[in-house]
Amino acid sequence: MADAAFDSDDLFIQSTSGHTKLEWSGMDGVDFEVQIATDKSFNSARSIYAGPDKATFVSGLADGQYYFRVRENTSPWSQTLVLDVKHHSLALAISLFVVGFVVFGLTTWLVMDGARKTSASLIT
Amino acid sequence: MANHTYIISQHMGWILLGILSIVWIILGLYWGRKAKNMEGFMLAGRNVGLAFGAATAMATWVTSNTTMLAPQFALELGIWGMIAYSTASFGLFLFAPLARRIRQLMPAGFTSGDFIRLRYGRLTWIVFLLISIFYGLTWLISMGMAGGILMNAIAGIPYEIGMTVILAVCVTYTLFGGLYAVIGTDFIQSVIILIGIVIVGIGILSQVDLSAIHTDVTEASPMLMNALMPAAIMAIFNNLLFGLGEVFHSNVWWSRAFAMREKVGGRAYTLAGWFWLPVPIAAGFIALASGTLGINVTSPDMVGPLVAATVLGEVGAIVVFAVFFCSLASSIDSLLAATSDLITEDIYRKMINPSAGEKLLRKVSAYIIIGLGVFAWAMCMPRIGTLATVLFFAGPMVGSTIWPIATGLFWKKASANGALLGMLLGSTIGLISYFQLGWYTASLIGAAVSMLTVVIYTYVFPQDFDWKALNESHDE
Repeated sequence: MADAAFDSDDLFIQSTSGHTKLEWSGMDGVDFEVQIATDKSFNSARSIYAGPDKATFVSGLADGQYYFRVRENTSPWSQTLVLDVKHHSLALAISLFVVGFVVFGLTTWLVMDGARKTSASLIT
Repeated sequence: MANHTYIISQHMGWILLGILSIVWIILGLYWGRKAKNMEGFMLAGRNVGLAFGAATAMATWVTSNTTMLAPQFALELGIWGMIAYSTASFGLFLFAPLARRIRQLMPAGFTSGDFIRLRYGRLTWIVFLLISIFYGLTWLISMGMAGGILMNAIAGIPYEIGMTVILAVCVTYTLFGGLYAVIGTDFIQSVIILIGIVIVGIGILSQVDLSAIHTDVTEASPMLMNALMPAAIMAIFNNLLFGLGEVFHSNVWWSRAFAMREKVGGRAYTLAGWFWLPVPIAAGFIALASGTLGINVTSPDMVGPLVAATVLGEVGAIVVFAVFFCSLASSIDSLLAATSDLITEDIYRKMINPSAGEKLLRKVSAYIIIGLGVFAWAMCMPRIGTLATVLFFAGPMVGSTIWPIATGLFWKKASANGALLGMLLGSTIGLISYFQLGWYTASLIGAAVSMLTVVIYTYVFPQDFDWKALNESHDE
């Protein structure tokens, strides 16, 4: 039986921005190791944390499924936590970028034009 | 507890906390002696000059959100996240012309609520007060939380105690000194913040290899270097418009516009914007170095202090502690003062007791400052989510105030119903996008919907407003 276990009730997490915080429980004062892989069997596993903390933050992940496991020292690995990353569509992002640009541009024009027109006389 | 590794000993943390608390209370009380009447207490006698004006604006805008949230932005959204946070400086730049206009139109004004009441009438005023007070409280809570998180991350001081101490210190000196104490302490705090950031920046740049950071981030977190990361692209103008909404509507900035001498406000806000601009970029950069430096991030809003303090050792950690304490105190005191002014002036004096004398108002104001501190403390006790989650919930609401405020100051034709509907629709649709798409879209959508509403109403139902109605000094 594994000693360390992820705290999440649901071992399947979804993210639209490619980041998540992993938290796990285990004994105090011992070292943990956390691995990430892009395949279920952890053939491509890479260690992302080793130390006494009980949480770590991962970010900047591209679209895809990521598998995480944690263990205490050399104890057996925990159950696998799956993170499914699916970023928002680029079309939506660019549309909102354009909307933001227009709102900002018009606001700047409103303020600068207003300031210019009202600077000549005190109250117009 | 998620993080077992502290940068300085708890003993040193207590000493620092004690020294900084005593220094700010003494300085606050010293400056606060000038606050002999209500105008002095609320607006520092309307006589603030350029140096103090620019320093207070800059220090107030360097909040826990700059020093803790900007690194979080970089860690979650990469390069664009860093830039996105720095766009909040446009709030100060664009408020500069507004500050000039406010001082011209309302030489006897006290609060941003005064403007909305006189410009748009009672109903819009009530909606505005709800938005503004809600925003002020979320900002205050996020700052109290940041105090607890910071002291816990650096020195292992329990979250509840760190948070309680910083709130108590700020309540104490704001209570006795009002805006005089706030602006005076802000001046010293801005100097400490700038010196500290230069020390931290030089220290980190001398110890990290930029190409190693680039390689590590690209391998471990490829989307952080991707110029087309969707969430980051959405966050750029969202953050810019959130910052604009925060500054345009909040009484924190209006009270300073009223407090500064005539013709000082515009220059002070522009200068403050330039001083502030590099701070979030520097703070964001250090977050990207965390992986290369082998620092485990247990909570994204702690990454800034953790990296800075780890790289610079114990002396560096002391500098970081002081910088963060100052950045928190300079914002918490401003919020306490400005929100208390808004509640005292707009709710108590205008709605409940119009005949209240100066002595009573001062007493009410004191109770409100204490009440705000206690409320913020109670809300901070359970640590809710990350700082971004707490603060950005108010994003669509403040975004929806940008056009009602700006058109109200410059367009005679801007109408009360347009402003009211703009705030209501912008807030509602922005909040829907907060839950449906994410926090990084809510302010943008709130501001866009509000802008459209205000523009359509102005052209379809134009008002012919008499600017002289904003000057209440004529009535007295």
